[in-house]
Amino acid sequence: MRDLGIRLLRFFIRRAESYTLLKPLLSLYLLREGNEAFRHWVLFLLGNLREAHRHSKPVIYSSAFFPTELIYALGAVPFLPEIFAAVVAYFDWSRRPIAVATGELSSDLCSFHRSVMGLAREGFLPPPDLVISSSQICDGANKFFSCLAHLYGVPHLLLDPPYHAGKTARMHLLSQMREVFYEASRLLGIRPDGGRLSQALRLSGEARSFIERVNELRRTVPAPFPGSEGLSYVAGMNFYSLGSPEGVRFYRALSSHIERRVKEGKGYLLQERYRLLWLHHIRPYYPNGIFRILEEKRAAVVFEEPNHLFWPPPDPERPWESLADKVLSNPWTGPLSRRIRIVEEMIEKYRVDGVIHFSHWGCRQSSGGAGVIGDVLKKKGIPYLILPGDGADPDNYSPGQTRTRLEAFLEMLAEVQRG
Amino acid sequence: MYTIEFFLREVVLLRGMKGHRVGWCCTYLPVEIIEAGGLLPQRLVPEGGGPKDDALLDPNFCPYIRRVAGALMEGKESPDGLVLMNTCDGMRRLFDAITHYLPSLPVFLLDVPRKRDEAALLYFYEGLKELIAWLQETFSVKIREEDLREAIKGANTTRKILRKLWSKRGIKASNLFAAIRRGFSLPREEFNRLLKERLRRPPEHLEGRPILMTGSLLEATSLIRYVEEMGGEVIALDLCTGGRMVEEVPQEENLLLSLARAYLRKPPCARMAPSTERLELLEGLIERERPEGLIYYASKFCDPYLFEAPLVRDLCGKRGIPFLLIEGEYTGQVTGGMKTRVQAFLELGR
Repeated sequence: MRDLGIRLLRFFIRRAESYTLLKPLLSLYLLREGNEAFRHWVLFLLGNLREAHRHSKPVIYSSAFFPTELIYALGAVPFLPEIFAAVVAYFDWSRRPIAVATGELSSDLCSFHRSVMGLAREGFLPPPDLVISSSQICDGANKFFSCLAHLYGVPHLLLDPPYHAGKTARMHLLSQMREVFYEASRLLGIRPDGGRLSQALRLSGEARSFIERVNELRRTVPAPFPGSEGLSYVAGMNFYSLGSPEGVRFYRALSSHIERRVKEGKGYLLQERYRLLWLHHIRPYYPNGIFRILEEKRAAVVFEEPNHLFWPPPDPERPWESLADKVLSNPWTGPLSRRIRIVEEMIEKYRVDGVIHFSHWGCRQSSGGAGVIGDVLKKKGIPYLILPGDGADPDNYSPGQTRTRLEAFLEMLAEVQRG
Repeated sequence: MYTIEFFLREVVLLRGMKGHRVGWCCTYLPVEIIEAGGLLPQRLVPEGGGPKDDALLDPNFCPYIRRVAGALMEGKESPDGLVLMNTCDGMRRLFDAITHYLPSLPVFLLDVPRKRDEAALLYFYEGLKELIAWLQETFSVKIREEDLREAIKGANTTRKILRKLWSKRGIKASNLFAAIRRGFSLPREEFNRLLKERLRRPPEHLEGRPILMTGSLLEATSLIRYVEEMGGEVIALDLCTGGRMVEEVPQEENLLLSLARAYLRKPPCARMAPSTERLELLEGLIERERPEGLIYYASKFCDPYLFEAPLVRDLCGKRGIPFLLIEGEYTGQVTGGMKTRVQAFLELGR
């Protein structure tokens, strides 16, 4: 019976018509949602899945840190499996694909990647025409995407951004980006179009100006927007939509939504006692009590690392250089001191009382720096908590331990506040 | 095995060295550059397990990298400087931890591209130039072209003897591996002298079931020896200290470029792209060496190898070769669990 249910689910998930059918229903349902940006996110995702399954345009799998502007410039449909794994976890469906993947992949690997591998093995994902990934930031992703390409029997193109950000590094990156773009065009039989690339950069720049506004508005006390949402669909759109018109619409709506709340003097908590900064690009997406515990104690997550705007405004007339600047200015590449500087900036900018570093099991790049960041912040007297956990695997979540750690941290914050 | 005489000779030799000791971890580093500065390159392969292993880095981290961090903190490894490579997330974070917690230890991080085309080669070459500048400034040495030429010559001799030893099948893999491991901390001439001595010895009798070993194993001697004791014979070593070594550095006009090319384009490890190259390499080894089994060793938390393992398993499946995946810590010991699995594996298909 359960197998029949899975087969039926797969049948619907793999058909573009399912999303066409779902769209008006969901649009109607979402009318009750006061946040228009959230509606945009849901419809964006739906549209993306529809296009990816319809396959009338080439589908490109891409890693979260690859600049999506290049994919939109190719006129292809981007599909970001890592984001999709977060959505699957959000619906509390990740146990099965993770279990499927565990037969072949070590349980010490990132659960987002394992979840995607399980989904791919079971035929839930739209087959790609090409896989493009960036080795920036995450080692696991680098290899994971090459495994996906192997599984689907399609080519894999890699962008390998340099560690350093000097002149030679920039030249090296520029030549690689061009190569990836033209090679992708060749493989997909698409005529490379410089105009479309400039357009993608223009849209990205437009979205960026709204992101800047959003981040400025989020400095307000009390915090107008919940960090839990900043870590879910806002971060999702940051990875997925830049370079597309939907990205602009989303950030415009988000900016208006937050602006309204600021004008009304509304914080997302009824009373805000502590202001927290969340470090890491992700949070646990399956049902869990982390943000509820924080809210009970009136601790607001006022900002989160993935939404920090690190890249300069792009110049559509110089698209390649703009993209190179964007990639090279990412503070999660290069030495950890770059990331620490940004963390310190965010602490000041958002008037933060304490910092939580979520250490996702399987994420070496992030958890590897957690100790050093903590050491720096503690020396400055900023309460800091390393919260070990898992973003996509609910079986790796320990409610008791998580509560104990969070409560101890909040007590520490109370003590600091008492002076 | 380390003999007492050998140990004493090593201590005397190292004490007699005037140059600074420069620690290193990854075989993508052209150690000839360090040698050309009159410095002694020493690969950090600390004995497994120490009290400070978890002090700097998260427990879900490569055990080798945690051990290196621990050994440096405990003072069990005390190089005068350190050259790390940006080869994986772990190494990158080791660099961050060392620069933060041991600020007095000079550390250089050399970026290694994953690709191996001309653009990547030039980028790597520029990195080597920066390494030279850093070594010269940090240790007040001069690295001249003739020094580099001499260092390359010495290292090529090592590689030539190792190739000869291995290709003639005159040495058991465990003994070869132990010899290479010793060489990590010896001055070049001494290492070459020992290898030449080894070459003069009568060839060893190799008779076990031929096994191909691959993966991210750094401290392999005990596992290889155990395979041999259980009736296996490791006939091909696709490890960074075995078959993935540089073959030879040609003495071209631009020596540094020659070094960059030889090192970047040596048989790739799992972090390099495209992944297909490694599968082709392994397929070639299987074709040539005709092993009766493949042992794939992946260090715990080593993402590139853990992701690659299923691909290699598929390859072995297609070729009808038994495959054994061992995921292990960096202890230098063969645990009970490993022993059972190796035994069962070697008994398979008898």
